[in-house]
Amino acid sequence: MRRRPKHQVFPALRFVTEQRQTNQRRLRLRHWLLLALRCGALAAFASALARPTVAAAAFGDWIIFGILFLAAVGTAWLAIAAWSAERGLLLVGLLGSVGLALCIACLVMFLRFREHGAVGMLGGEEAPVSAVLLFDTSPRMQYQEADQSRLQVAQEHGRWLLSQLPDDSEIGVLGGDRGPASFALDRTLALQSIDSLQTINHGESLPAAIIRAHDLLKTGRHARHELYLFTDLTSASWRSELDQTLTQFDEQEGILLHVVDVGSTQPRNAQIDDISLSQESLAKNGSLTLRTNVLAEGTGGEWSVELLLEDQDPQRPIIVDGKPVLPERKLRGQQTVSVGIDSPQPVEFSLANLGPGIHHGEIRLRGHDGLDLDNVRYFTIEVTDAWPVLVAASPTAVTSYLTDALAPLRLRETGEARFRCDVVDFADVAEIDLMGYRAAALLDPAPLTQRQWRQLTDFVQRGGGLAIFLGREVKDIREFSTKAAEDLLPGPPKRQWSTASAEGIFMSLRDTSHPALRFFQPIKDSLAWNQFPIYRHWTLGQLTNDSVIVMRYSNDQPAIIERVVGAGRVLLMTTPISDPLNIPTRPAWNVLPTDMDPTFFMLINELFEYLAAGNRNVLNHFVGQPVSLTVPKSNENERFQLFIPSGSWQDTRPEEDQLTVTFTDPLGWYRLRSESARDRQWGFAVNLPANETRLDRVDTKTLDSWLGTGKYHLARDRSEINRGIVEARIGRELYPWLVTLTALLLLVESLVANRFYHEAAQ
Amino acid sequence: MSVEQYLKPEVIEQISRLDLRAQFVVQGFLQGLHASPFHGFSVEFSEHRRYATGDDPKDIDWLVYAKTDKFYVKKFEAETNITGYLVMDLSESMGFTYRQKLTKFDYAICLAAALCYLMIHQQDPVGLVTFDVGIRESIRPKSKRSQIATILSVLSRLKPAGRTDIRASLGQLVAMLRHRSLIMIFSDLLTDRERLVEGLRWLRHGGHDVILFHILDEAEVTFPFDDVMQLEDPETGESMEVDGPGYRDSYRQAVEDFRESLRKEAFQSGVDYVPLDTSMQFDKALIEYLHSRRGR
Repeated sequence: MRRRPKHQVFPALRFVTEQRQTNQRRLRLRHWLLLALRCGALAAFASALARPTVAAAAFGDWIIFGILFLAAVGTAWLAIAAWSAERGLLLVGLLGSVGLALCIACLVMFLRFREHGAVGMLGGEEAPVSAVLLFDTSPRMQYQEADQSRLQVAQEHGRWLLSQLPDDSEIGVLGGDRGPASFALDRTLALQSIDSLQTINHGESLPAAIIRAHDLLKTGRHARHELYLFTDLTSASWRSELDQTLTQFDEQEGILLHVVDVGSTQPRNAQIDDISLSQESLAKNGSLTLRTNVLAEGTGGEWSVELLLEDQDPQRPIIVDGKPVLPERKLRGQQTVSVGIDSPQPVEFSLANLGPGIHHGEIRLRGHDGLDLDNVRYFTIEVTDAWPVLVAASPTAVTSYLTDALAPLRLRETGEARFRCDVVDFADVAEIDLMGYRAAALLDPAPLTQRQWRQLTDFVQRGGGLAIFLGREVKDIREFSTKAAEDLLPGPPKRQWSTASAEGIFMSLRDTSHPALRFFQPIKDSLAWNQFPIYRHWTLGQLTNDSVIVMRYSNDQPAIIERVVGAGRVLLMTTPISDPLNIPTRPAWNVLPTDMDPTFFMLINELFEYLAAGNRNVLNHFVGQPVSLTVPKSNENERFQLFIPSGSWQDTRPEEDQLTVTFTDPLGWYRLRSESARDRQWGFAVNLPANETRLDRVDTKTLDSWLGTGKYHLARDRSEINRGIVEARIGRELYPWLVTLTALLLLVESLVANRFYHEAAQ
Repeated sequence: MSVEQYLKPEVIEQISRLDLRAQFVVQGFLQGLHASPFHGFSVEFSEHRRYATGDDPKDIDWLVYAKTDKFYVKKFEAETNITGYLVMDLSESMGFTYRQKLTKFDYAICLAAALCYLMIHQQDPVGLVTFDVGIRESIRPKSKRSQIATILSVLSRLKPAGRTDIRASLGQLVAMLRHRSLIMIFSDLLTDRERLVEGLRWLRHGGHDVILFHILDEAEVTFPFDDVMQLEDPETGESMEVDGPGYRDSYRQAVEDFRESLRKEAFQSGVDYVPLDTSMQFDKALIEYLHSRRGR
């Protein structure tokens, strides 16, 4: 039986009462804490049983959210406890502020989750999706490994993936063809689209295709958007528009991106580099040099390099039984090179004794490797008769300096000269049909008549090249300032500049960017221009707006000026090259043509080749470039056939002597032939840039920096694709985290309860 | 307890010793107390006393020594015009004693008597005010030697009873006082803390010096109960069953917190706070307090 407590009057009972109230409050708080811990443990366990999932991309954010939430609850509890224990306003305020800040952070994160649809992703793996299967169709996807090209592997994965997508999903299949993007009407059509995929030599870049796929997904009718990118992950695929793609990815966080890597991790490939031709157009009996490199990735070894050239057959190409029959190709050169990994091996071939006309050829590696596409490079060259050049000169001028430079006697005798020079007096120019010449030269011209100026202007406007070398015969500069002269000249002569110094001035080749001077680029520092002094030259008045200074003297005055007039060009040199050097009473203006020095020889040849070939066709192109051919029609009704490397052909009719070929995706030779006169042929070659077939791969770190870490799933085989789909579609399970949290809460509850009851027992 | 008991020889001796050691007690205590509000006092020679250990040798009167061959020190008397009020809490809680020897009220009377004697002795007028829910008794301040007997006779017939309202009582006291005075409050302060603080601030606002003697019973400080107790508040009648050992530590902490809070409040208000309990010898406590004042 309980003993009756002893009665005692005690005035300070208020302290006991206060203490009891404090104890009761603390006890109540402890009970609440224990209750909260137990409820929390139960809630966490119940949540774990419900197996909630969150978007894999947002999983990290959810974990942070959970930690913040627990921290907020804990801090709030501490703040309440501190307030209850009257610990001081500062501590309570501090804890309260921290708790409030954490709560706000949790709220903000939760709202972000809602905004990005990361909330409520429970189950629903079989819900229909809007999916785009984007295939990298770059030529590198032709790389073969285990008897399968990368594109075939990608197609296999694509077909399998198609069967895995939930029913009623809308599916788009995209390649790099820049065509309109749309979802397929049904799964069968999507499958057909996959089956019909082919590599495209000049397709859309991968970043641009990704943007197109994103744009398509934005129109998808289902809530879940998935983008599957099948690529070999070669770095060449990602070169352009990367920044823009990244921006799109940032904005499109709701789209699940799966990158399926079908590339070879250790590619072994040899390739021929871009071909460098010494010239595309050469004179009959001239010679040509072709230079290139043999490169190897992943494997070295000996390779046989062959040069093949088509026979000139005026009857071919011809269509037989609906198929074009092409001229035969013959081996014109062969070399064996030993190639090391990533160490280019140079190869050089020469061609000579080619007949006039268009010649198509190729340099190829004999044998096969993973990617045969880059084992061959095509080229087209044009061989013409010697270019006719009209040289008009005053009787006192020495024309041989020019004619010997353009067509040296030895070459004229062997028929290898690139130019054929006809020399006439100025007075006879009016009687000559200039259209029979590719270029004309006026050596030290005296004032011309208006008719002569107009005749020359007409010649240039129709594509001819004109070189004018001003000299002592320009006696009245007003004759060079007439309207007819102004239409042709880059600028009127103003006055003569001269120096009494024996050293004189000289030509200065500081800038070789002009096309006529590119030849000098590698040798410009080894040329001794100062060996050929110039004592006198003309200065010019105001140059026309369409004039360009090609070369200057060392006194910075213009030496050679170019003006484009119509389809042709005019080159004006302000000092003559026809001044006799051996007249004691009349000092020469310059000694440029002394002994036909190679420097003068090269300068004259480059200038006249530039003038004569001014409007000729460019014969070698890279894939994707629109090509324009100048095709003079023999009559208005003349029709042409365009033969394309893929084996097809089409009838065409040039407009105003110009034919533009806009579709140049197939690699090889494009041939244009007149239907009426089969020997009238033109053509050009199209190649893939060598760097487009390099197979070096993007590493994961770089891919992360482009696409964002955690914003995509990278897979190599079906199991990885499947895992990625499951993770991305139903998210990552929080089950283990919730079970851990439950255990943690139970542990804390146990510790807290033990402490509380222990204190109470004491 | 009779008047004589309050002035029993040992008590008087203690007080006398205080008196005799006026050089550092009176000057340290009373001068310190009213030096600030009341300027212009002078110190006059009062009498001689025998030199005792602890006295400052500088105070030895060498003329007397030459005449008598004995050491005497000069006693000085402060000429002041300070008026003191002994303010006694008369609530029922003041009548509590756990050991049945000295109630808080008795203890307060002893303390008041000693201070009264001290002030009368230096011819300062001393009055008495008792209060519970309001002022009950008051004796006008006088500096006659008979005043101590008058005060003690009044105190001896008073019996603590009823509740207390210290704020109202101090309010009445402030209204009653005409001049700046030294208010010595003797109370267990078992009342609402906020109201007490408010009353003290009124006093300070009136320009009065305040010494707050917080007197608790020994049991109210130590909580000596070793059993389950049925504790009853004599003023409110509130009763509570308490496990003595279980509550002891927290109770002591609560009392200490209460004293600490009062100490802080008193410091901020410029009030001298002297916590006491009946187990402390009041004379030692008083001297200790005076010493502490002297040290300031």
